[in-house]
Amino acid sequence: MKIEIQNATKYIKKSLILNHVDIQLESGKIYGLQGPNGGGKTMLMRLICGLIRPTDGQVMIDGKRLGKDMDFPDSLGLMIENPAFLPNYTGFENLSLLARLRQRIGPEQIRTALADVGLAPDDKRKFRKYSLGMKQRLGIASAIMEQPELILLDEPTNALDDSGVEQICQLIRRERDRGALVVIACHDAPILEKLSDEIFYIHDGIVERKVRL
Amino acid sequence: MSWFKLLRHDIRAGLFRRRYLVVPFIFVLSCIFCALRRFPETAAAGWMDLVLFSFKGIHPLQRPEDFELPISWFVIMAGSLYLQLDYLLEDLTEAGQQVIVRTVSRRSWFLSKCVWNLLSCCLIMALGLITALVFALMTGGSISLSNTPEVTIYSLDWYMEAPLTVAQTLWIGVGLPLLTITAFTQLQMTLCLLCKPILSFLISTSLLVASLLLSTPWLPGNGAQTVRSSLLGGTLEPLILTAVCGGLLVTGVVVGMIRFHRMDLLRYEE
Repeated sequence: MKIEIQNATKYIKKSLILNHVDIQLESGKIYGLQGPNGGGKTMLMRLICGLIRPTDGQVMIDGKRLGKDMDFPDSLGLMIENPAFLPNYTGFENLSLLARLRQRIGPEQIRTALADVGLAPDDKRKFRKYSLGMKQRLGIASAIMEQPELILLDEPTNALDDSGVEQICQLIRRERDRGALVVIACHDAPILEKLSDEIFYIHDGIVERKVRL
Repeated sequence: MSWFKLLRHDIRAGLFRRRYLVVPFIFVLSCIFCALRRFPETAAAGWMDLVLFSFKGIHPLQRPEDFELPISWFVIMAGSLYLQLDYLLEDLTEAGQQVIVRTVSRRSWFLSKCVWNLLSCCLIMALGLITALVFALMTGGSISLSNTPEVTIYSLDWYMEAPLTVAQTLWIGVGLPLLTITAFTQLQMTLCLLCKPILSFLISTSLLVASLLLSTPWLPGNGAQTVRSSLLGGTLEPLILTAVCGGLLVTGVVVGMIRFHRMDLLRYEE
């Protein structure tokens, strides 16, 4: 998979959110997005996954224009901001419902994804009873369970303890090694430095490639 | 991905909600208002009498100062709008976000919401019908599918010698109100894509109130007022009302779909 963001600018209610963004992303790499709050990290992710459309410029995915040739990338796993699921269903049930939409995976893969993020597949608790960390893990499981080509994770280590962070980092690396294109936004600079193959620094909607020393 | 799977998500997430339990209470209120009218001792309000009364509305006004808000009618109509106000945006920004990125197109996602809207209105109507049926059975009313002329003179203030046919009763008492509610909730849903939800609710309810004030087929709220129908002494042809409400519904779907295809999918506060 190859994503080309070509001179993309985004205004929302006359505020400049993304300013002439021009980057290329390729499969088999982890891209980190770093920057202050409100700098445009989440908006860049939304642009890549088709939730928002650029005011100017375009997003090309494997030569197809997002928003014109397709509404959303075909193979996408996503966790942007707070993971939200149906509150009266268990984690397994929630993922099963999502998996049924595409029918690419069965119950076994769902169980594996839950176990991979440290959740018990047979946990009978409803989503509304989950702790913040469990919700976060379920959000990550939903993003990776179908082994998508493109994975977007916004603050994946939020609300996780140290062992949880390490577990998720290993998981993200595994997805990269499988050939997925992974984009993560994270406030924790050391984690991002450790995990990413390339880092983009975003401030005031301007995206700069960060030179790593 | 099959579109029906999308719809299944909307039924599961949007239709099985406790809030619909309020619907029977709203209709019971209307049935009580109907029963409190002075009927001759021989005639109790039947099933369809209660339904026709629930969507009675008001007779065309001779003078504006005669206006009195028909409370039970307004509660049913505005309540239906309110019940369905938040689902689209809630689903868009919460659990539904995982769903939308798994869909092939935005249009199919929105179309699924439109069908959910229709099903939700059908559920409200079904709960209303069941409530009226139970009320009629409990109060000794007939469960016939047409009205009782001796009751109609008191409940709808209209004298008629012969009852409406079953088809006429179901058309102006069930079908047309259902279509009107669906058209209004669709309008509200489409307006939600253009302005704040509370504003879309206020615009829709204002249109409802306007249709109480003016007896014209071009204000679709008239479709849910049985006494405005030419079959019950009004001046408006049910066929024209059906066409206008149908037109509003289709327009709401088309405009919403066009808007949704282009809009940014952000959290509400953004």
